[in-house]
Amino acid sequence: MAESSNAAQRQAAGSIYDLGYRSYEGTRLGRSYAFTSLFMYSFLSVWGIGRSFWAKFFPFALAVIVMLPSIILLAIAALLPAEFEVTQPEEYFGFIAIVLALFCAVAAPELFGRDQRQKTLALYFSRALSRLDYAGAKVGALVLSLFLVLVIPQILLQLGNAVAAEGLTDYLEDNVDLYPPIVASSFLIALFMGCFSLAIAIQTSRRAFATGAIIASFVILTALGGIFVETLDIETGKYALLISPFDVLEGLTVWVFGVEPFEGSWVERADHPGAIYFAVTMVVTAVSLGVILRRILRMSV
Amino acid sequence: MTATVAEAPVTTTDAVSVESISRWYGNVVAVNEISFALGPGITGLLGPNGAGKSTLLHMLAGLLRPSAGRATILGESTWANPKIYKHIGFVPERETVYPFLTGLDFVKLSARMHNLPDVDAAALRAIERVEMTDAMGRATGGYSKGMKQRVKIAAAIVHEPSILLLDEPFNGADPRQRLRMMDMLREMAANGATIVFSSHILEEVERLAENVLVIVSGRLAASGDFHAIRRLMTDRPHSIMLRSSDDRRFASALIGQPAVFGVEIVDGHVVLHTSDLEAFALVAPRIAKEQSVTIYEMAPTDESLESVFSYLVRR
Amino acid sequence: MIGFLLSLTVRQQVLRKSTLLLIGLGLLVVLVAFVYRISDSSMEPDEWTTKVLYGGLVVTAMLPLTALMFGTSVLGDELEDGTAVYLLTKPLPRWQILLPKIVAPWLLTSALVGGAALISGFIAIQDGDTGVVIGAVVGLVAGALAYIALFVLLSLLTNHALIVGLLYVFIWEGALAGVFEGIRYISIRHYTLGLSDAIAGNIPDTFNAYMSGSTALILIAIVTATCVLWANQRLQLIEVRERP
Repeated sequence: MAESSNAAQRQAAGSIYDLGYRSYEGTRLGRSYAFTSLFMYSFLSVWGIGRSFWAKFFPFALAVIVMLPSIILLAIAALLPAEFEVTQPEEYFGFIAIVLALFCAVAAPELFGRDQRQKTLALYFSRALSRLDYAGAKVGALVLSLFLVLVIPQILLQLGNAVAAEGLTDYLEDNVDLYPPIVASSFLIALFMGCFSLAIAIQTSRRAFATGAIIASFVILTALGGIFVETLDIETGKYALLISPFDVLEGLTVWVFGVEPFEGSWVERADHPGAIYFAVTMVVTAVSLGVILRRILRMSV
Repeated sequence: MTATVAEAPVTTTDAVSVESISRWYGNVVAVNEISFALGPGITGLLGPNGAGKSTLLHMLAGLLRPSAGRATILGESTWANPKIYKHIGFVPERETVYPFLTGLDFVKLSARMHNLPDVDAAALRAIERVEMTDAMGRATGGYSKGMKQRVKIAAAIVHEPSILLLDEPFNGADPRQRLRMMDMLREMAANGATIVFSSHILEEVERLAENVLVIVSGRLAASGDFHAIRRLMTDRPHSIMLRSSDDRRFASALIGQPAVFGVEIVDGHVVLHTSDLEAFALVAPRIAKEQSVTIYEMAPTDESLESVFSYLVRR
Repeated sequence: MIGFLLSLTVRQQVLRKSTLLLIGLGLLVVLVAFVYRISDSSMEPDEWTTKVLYGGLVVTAMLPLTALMFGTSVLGDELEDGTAVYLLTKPLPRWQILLPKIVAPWLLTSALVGGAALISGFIAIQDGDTGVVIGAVVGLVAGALAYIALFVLLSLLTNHALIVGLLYVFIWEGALAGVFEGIRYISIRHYTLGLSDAIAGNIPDTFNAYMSGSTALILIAIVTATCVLWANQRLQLIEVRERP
């Protein structure tokens, strides 16, 4: 047997044909393409597109709930203009704050959790994509989603107001100075809530745990802020309000729109200069981003 | 078209039987009208991943409802029938066990839930059987995959069931553990237990199972002893390997025979293709003698479970 | 048997990571009561304890969140991890498996939330009406049972029990109940508050529940019984898939 195999080897000593792995010599689309792809993919996964029915149901249902007041107002404006009361865009956030928090609680764990659970991070990080890009794409996807969920109802609201008013285009033109604040406030709120939620979500790979932690943080911190303002004397208490996410965002919104705080709200009682809310928003966003980046840059895969 | 071999007749009620059992998830049919009856002994469910073996086992274990047909154990339907678990031990594929419990506690939990009169003794016995006495005081969270597997088996046999169902039991077991487990299962089968295990690893099934059920794409492709299955596949020619004192002479004489329709000389031996094994068996020694050739070795090359299996999968 | 499974389940739940956070939450509640105590607030202890501490923090936030974390995971995690198989493939009637899975999280929720409510209540109430504290704790314990029964049922009906539970608590009980009055009859939060009112022996709207104690108790009983019976049905027909 040994002899014949040697003979076989001698006969076969010749060429080896490379029929397997082929290297690619064409154009490579590079880092920006990778980033955009991941961004689009993450954005779609926030909305559950490409996953099961329920993965779509919850984000879309929550988005619809957020838009419901504006849709209803638009309908009333169109059908029963007499009943219509103009709702200012800055009031909108108060209605929907908790729903936005639920949206974050549902979406944020998906963005980081699945990659951690299914251990696909090694795949991402061995590509043209840098870790920074990965973080940016994920954060960007959630912030963009929140932005859309915030800005679309406000647009509808404006339309509603315009329809109920005497001249549609006139109204829209008159109120053109509302548009920058609408966009700015929506963006800042989206930034705050998105980064905050993701900073919490990235701490764990278990989805239920992250969801609970995010919603608990929003709810408890808001409750505490209000309680401390209520309980302590106003001079010290008013600083406690700054730990409450919803109140900070409310304060931010009224500041961006340049209007007075709502009567009877904590924000009114605390009587901070509006810019403080903006500062807190930026600080929280920066710290959250820091937490996210630190985690991602140090993650071992 | 299935080839079945009559099993040895089973006394009284069949231990395990399914009648036209099916299971679908929406449009996907996982198990497609399978019927069989099993008695004491070891049966292997063999099939590629996704063939439906696990689904079938889960239906047998009363954990999934059949979409059609029935699964019965000792004459009783297994679905929504907790009492039947007195006679069944089920070892799932999934690794997770309660990580905070020690191995002993986990087996004792099982014993307690079976209302055994002497929980501690039964648990210890079961643990000894799977050779986990050394590690039984440690929390299962720290066990290796093979250790978890053994403790799962201990929990499943603690009440000495007459039917044992194991889903991919040898996953992650090192060769020594596998041999020990196989010995244990053979012992149980010899004592009258009906054991059904699933695997996609041919060697395991070949080595352990007396009876094989081949499942492909949800259907029962073949059942019985695999040598017998092979012989029933008459639409496929047999390959036989021959080593002799003069291969070339032997081969050229054999090709003249009607029973032989192909001969190959591969290095060191002859591979011969025949459709009629019996006729060939009669003719080969005669030809050898006529040609003054000594036959050193003659063996079928494709009666292994592997070739049977790949044949069935490709059909 | 049930006792044994009960202690097993309690152990299982206590060892979860989220338990630590929930304990932290309880400590936070106590801290808040402390802050009130040492501060110079204009609010009377009675009013503060009922409206702010209980109405604003414990009943509206800590109770449902705690019940959610325990209730959705007690069976939900087992079904997801695959350990449910070890409970289901035993010759036990299903209700014997279900009962510890409801009692254990209920005990834990009651202990955590009730304990926090008790301690913080006594810190805050000072020389006010201690009946308020007792009433709140009793209401909480009863409400916890209803919540747990509901959430355990949810975990048997869907993979997304936590999210559905959150929607129920914060949108249905939270936002909508404020707008539509009738909803309070289908809101465990309101039952809790109503019962607390009755036991505290105060005027009905101390806790703003606008619901009599007997109504609340009956509704809690109905909700709990319905959820437990339905959950038992589901558990008898539960299917365990081979792969998630």
